[in-house]
Amino acid sequence: MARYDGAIVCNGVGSATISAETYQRYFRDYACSQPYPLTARSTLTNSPKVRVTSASICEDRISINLSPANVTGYLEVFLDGPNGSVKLAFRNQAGGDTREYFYTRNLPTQEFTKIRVTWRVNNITGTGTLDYRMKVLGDYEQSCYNTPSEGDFSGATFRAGTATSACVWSARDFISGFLFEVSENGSGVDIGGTPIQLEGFCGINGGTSPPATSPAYCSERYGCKRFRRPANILTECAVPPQVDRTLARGPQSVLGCNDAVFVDGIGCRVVEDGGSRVRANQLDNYKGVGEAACNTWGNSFKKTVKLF
Amino acid sequence: MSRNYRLLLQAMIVIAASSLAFATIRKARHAPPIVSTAERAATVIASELETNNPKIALNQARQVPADMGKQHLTSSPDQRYTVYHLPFNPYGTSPKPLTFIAVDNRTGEPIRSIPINWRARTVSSVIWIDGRTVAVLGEAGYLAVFDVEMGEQTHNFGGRNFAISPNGSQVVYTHDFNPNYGYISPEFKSDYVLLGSLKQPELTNINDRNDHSDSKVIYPEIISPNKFEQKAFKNLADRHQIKSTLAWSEDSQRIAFVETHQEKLWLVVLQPKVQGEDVTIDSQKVELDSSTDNISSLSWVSNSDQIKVSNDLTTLLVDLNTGTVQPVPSDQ
Repeated sequence: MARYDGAIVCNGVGSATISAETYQRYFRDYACSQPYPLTARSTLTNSPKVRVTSASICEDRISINLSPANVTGYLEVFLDGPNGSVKLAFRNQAGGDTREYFYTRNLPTQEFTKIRVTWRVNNITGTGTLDYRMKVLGDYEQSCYNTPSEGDFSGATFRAGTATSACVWSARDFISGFLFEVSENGSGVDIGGTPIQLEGFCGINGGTSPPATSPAYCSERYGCKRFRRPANILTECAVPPQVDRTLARGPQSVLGCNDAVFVDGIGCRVVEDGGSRVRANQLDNYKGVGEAACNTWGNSFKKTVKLF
Repeated sequence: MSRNYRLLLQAMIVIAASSLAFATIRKARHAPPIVSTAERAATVIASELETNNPKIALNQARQVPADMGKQHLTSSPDQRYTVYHLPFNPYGTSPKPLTFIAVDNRTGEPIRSIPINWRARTVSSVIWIDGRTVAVLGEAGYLAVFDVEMGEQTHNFGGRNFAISPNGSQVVYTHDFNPNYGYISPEFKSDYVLLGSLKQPELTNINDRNDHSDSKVIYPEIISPNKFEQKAFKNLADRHQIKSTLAWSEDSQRIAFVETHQEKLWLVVLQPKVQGEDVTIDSQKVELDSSTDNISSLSWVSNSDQIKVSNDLTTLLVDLNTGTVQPVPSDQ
């Protein structure tokens, strides 16, 4: 005699139990003399299926697929980490594809390793996860820096020594204020559009020493400097700075060269430079050549996340 | 939760809230007389800050949220003046200068508007050096000083690890004379200690982009910055790399710090003697166990010739008279 309890709709979610009475309690495998207990009850469960198909904090997107498509259940989205979980969202959600967000602004300062999504339909919960490691660093002050352009300066000039990459020395008139900025920032673009950088090789690590006709520009704050012209401007991490990509961090920062970072309201960036005056909880955003590059910038504290 | 327990809890919350309100009112009664409610609220917070933390570190002052138009509002230790700065935008082709407003607390009237020659993009903290002199730290590397009574900026420094002497007369800081950004070859990464006087006004033209600081390099040798030619250390062990903050002795006579040099870790104590333009330095170096790297704090033991050097694992007591270094038991 068999009995059937519950209901499973075709392609649906639910649970059903089939039970049967039997007179035989064991099935004996005579070849092995091994008795197997016979169960008189069997439960069939068709759980909701959850897949976290992909995620990108840079796009503020967690892509989720829920099946079956023809039912509605209660969706919850979590970030899990070694120090606990954070629930990002909860709502009733129909099956199919759906999108959730990271809500970065509200995230606590901690590390996360996994996105976990649960979907409860007819009191049965399906779970899907995706490994996703990130560390919320906190609210970092976002400032702007640029490469100084001589065209933004006026005033007295100074004839300063310049060397090519082959250590061929010459001298050229630059606006003094521009040379000070180059001394402070490490690089600049002169009035002719040629990139220059501080010279620290010729006569020191090789090549010829500067002649007296290639004098140094001296400031109280940065000492005496000569310049490489033309130069391939390189960041502290030895790559060219790129607008809307390069970030500079301070000497006390937990971030290092090539660390990927998401800044809420700004986007994904890469730590590629160092700023010796930048504070530990500050990031400097590179915006290009000349003062106009930072004209529309406003400093603000924004949630900052290190990506792995 | 039972109903009685819930009532008891509610009563406790009401009592606690009342106590807090009463405490706030009591503190407000001691606030200096000033004009607006917003200013009053903010000044109470600022004076608590000064009262509770008389030796507040440069990076610990806080921004008062009572009025966003008055930023880093803080009162002088004697409560005679309050200063704050106006919102400023450091970007653009002609950015307005950072401007501080000084208020006479007796009248509540603004008495000075003080423009600051300012190269930083942010103001990190504002502290009073004495009853009329204010130090402004920008980001992690700019220090401006202004005099409320003169209504002028008096000093402008660029470097790191600023430490003002307890008597307010001098500032020491570190600088490597490298640019702020870009690739720096390792042979140029060596630190220098500079000493600046806070007594004599130095800025003759605050719009001068070159920022006259008139400091002197006092370590590892004495150099005037405008005569400074950066050295390349082909042997990297010859570099001096400072690993701690700079700590003034209580009597403002000596400065201590920890550095690596010749692949060893040293506690260095400098005693500068300034006579007019001339500076001479007496120095003392004590070798530390190199495992003491990652220095977390450095402090003088009160009224003594002893210095405590700590990292996450241990604290050492250095006796400058005997040159001995001993671990401090963890309960001290």
